[in-house]
Amino acid sequence: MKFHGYSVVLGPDHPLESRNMVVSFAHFQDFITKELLNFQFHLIPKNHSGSVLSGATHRQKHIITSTTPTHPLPTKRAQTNSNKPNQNLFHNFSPKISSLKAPLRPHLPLLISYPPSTYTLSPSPFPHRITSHLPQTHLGPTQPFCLYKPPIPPRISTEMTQSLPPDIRTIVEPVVAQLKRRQLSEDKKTAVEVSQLLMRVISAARWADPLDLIDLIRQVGIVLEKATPKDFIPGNIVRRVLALIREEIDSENPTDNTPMISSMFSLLSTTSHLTQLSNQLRKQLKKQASDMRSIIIQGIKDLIDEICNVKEELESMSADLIHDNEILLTATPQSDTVLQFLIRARAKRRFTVLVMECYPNEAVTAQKFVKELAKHKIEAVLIPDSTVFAVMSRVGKVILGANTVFANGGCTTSAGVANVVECAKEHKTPVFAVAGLYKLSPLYPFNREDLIEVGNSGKVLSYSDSELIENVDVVTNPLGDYIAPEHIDIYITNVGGFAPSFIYRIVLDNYKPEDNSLEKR
Amino acid sequence: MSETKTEAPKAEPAEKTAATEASTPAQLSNKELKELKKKEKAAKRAAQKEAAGITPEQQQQIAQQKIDKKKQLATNTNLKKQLSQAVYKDEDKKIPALFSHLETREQRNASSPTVSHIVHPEILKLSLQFSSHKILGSTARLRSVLQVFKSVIRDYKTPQNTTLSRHLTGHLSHQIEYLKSSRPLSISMGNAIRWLKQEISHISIDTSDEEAKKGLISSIDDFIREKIDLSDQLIIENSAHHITEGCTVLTFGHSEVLLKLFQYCVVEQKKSFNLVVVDSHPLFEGKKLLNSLFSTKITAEESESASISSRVSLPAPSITCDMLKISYVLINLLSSTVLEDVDVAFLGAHAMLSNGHLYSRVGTAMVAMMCHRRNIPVLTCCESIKFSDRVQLDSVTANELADPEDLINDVNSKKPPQRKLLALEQFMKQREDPAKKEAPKKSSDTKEEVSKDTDILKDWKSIPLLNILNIMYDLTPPMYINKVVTELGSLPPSSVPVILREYKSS
Repeated sequence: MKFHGYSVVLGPDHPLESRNMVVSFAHFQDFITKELLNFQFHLIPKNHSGSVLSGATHRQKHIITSTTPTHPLPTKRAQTNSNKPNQNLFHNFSPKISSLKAPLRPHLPLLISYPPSTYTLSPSPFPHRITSHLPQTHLGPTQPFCLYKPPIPPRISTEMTQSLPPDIRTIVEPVVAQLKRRQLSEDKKTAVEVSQLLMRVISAARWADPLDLIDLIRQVGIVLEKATPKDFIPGNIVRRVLALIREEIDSENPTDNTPMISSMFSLLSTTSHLTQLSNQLRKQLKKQASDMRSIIIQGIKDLIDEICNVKEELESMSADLIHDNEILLTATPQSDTVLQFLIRARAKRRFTVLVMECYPNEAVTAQKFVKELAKHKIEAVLIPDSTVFAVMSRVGKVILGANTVFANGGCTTSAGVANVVECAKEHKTPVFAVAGLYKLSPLYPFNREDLIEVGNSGKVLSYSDSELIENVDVVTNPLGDYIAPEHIDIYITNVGGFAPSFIYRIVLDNYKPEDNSLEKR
Repeated sequence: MSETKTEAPKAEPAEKTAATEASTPAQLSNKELKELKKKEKAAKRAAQKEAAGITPEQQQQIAQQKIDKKKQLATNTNLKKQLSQAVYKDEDKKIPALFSHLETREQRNASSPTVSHIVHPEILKLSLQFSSHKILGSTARLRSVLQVFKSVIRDYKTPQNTTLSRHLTGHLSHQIEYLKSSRPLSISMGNAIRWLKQEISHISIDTSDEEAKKGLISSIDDFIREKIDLSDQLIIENSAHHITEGCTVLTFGHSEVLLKLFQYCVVEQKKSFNLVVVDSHPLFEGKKLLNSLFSTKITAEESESASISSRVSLPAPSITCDMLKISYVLINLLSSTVLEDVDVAFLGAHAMLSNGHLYSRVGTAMVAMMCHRRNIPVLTCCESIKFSDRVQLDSVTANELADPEDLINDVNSKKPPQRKLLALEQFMKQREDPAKKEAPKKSSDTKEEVSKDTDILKDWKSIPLLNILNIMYDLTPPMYINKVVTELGSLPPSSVPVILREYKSS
């Protein structure tokens, strides 16, 4: 019976936007977090609405309102002791916020944002006035404040997973819920979780024809991609597994194993011939289904091993890249791969690492990172983001951890790194990015805005700072940055180091081009 | 000067040295041996005197009288010694190896009474304000220093056997020496002090003290007006045409002249434009700029003319209401779409160096670089008092170290660090220590890490390989700067030495 991750958002159009309101709201929030449930309150001022909503789209996705204030909220007491009548939430508050009661009760455009898995709406484009976007079917004003507990694992709307057969749906849904709630914070964890999911799907699904299996996996892939539209790891893993299956099919039928574009003639070959071929193929393949299953599952197991052992394989590269007493700079303190790389490099070299703070989003992580480095006998210096240019002239190399590496050699990382690589470029300092193979994506980054998530703008300008908020028009807090290929000198992966211009070859080795788009053509 | 007051200073350092000796008995250098012998002798003498019928209290009194006599013969070196003793030196400072040559972070001053007979109370107050970052920013510091010097001169009395023009410079030097202990002097302050000393030396011996002091005070007033206020006005007039109706202007941190420029453009010229304020952890000076802009109201006469009939004293709307659209970003978000529609970037300055480099708040260089790479013109507004004949090539060789604790305390507070005064800090430490001893050492490090995110680096000083770097300034290469606007006109950064020559000759 947990309410973690709930957040209540006070809408931009309610009449209580006064300073007092914000202040008392801070008390309100404290009270809620301490006493009742673990959920957050946010007041959205007018000028914040855009960014908060986009923050909401990524953290919470869905904002649902109830305009009727008198409905009882299930408090902790209400849950544990159902005999007692549910009291209005606002009656239960400490005297601090009793002053709130009066203004709050008549019009209470309290917007409750649900964990995204409970209800599904199309995440974008998000409407400007949230109130107009009420899923009345789920939550009418007649229904109480609807902090009712979501089923665990929570249901995902049928709309999203309905394309899947029911038995597969039960396997996929919990993972989708986890992805949407961002409970899988680390990239590596996500990758392992998704590959395990696919393993379960493959063993549970009933299929006779590998091509059916491919279709099914594609469906699962679409669901996963929709769950985290800006995280490419699940999609990568799905495509890796698809490539694995396709390779298996090819190796089982060596006669049909024609190279993709072996000559100009095959370009001109008719499709009817191909369909004939595939029909033949289907017949042959049906026999080998059970063999195939175990082979594919073994393949996924190998994939998981590969993901887990990224750090071991990175080790060999370190000595080639770092010289003794070198000063390195890293701008991605949240990257575990960078940490492991440095720790392993320390076995052979002594060096100093400057760690950029990445202020609003990763400041705490950076502190942990620095401490961890110092623990492993690496000299570490924490620097604020603004100091990067000042020290860049002394830095030998810049190390980054990439979130996703695209086929063109560009990558996404945390916000602020683009500044750093530009500084490095100006100072002609080499930049290398460390990434496991599973972070390579066969996609091309066409639109920069599609790649970058926007986070909580309250981290830039806190909501309690009412005077500033009232007067500032735009506050944004992007969580990521896209780095163009020309700003990176090499990528260090677990299969070796590559220039960004060569990444597309590595991508081709691991993915099949026919899977780049998971949607049916 | 009363006796009790003068007792205190000498007694304290003496006690201190004694204490340090006691604490380190292991290493007995020659010096310490001598001291020991001295003590023995003193003890013998005391015993003799006691035998002669003088009580220890009387002895002490006699000793103090001697000390007082010595004090009256206060020589320059003597005063300097006392000053340096009064400065609190942080023993457990940690500086990254790369920056170990730099002056330590503000050596914050110890409790003031020890030097109160040398240093003017206003200076004590000012140095506290400097070290606690209450007064921050080159122009604000210059202005406040000059104001304080006025009162120092007003309260100054020429000792016998000397003249004002000879002695006052020395007296001021002591004040400055003490002020330096709070933070290193800014370039502009150095320039102003040089001017003031010259001014003092020009006073002829024949002028009476009163007259000379009056003259000095009024010339300081003129200096402030000419070098800061009027200069700013000229700079604003020179640079206002770069802000056009509806354009987008980017600025970093806080600069007094830029604040005035934005206010002028909105209030006087009635332009409405977008302002992107870039800010950085830990000082958050951009918030200061925001606050000053919010409190700027559209002028009274205008609102009166707008509503003659209703003379209700409605609060004038802030300029941020509809004239000025502000977006606020932190420096690491600069690379995102923020820069796409910026038309011009205005930067403040701490100093312009003779080789054309701009020495300014850390982060400025990055902002300038990012703008330069995107072909956004970068302008610097800088009064000529901030021009320096120093040359510097990178930010590492000369800089100022700020308190590293600022980076780790209250990471999520989004507020500039609140400085506690040293005396208070020491007091709190003393109070804490016994409490710590009482607390059992059960709680392991790992447990604490988990429990409190905010205290991860609380014990960073005890981790030998861990360092925190918090510098105040950085150096922007001249190639990133398109124009330097001064009260003498606009010029490229390469022409800074030209201005310096002109300025010196005048």
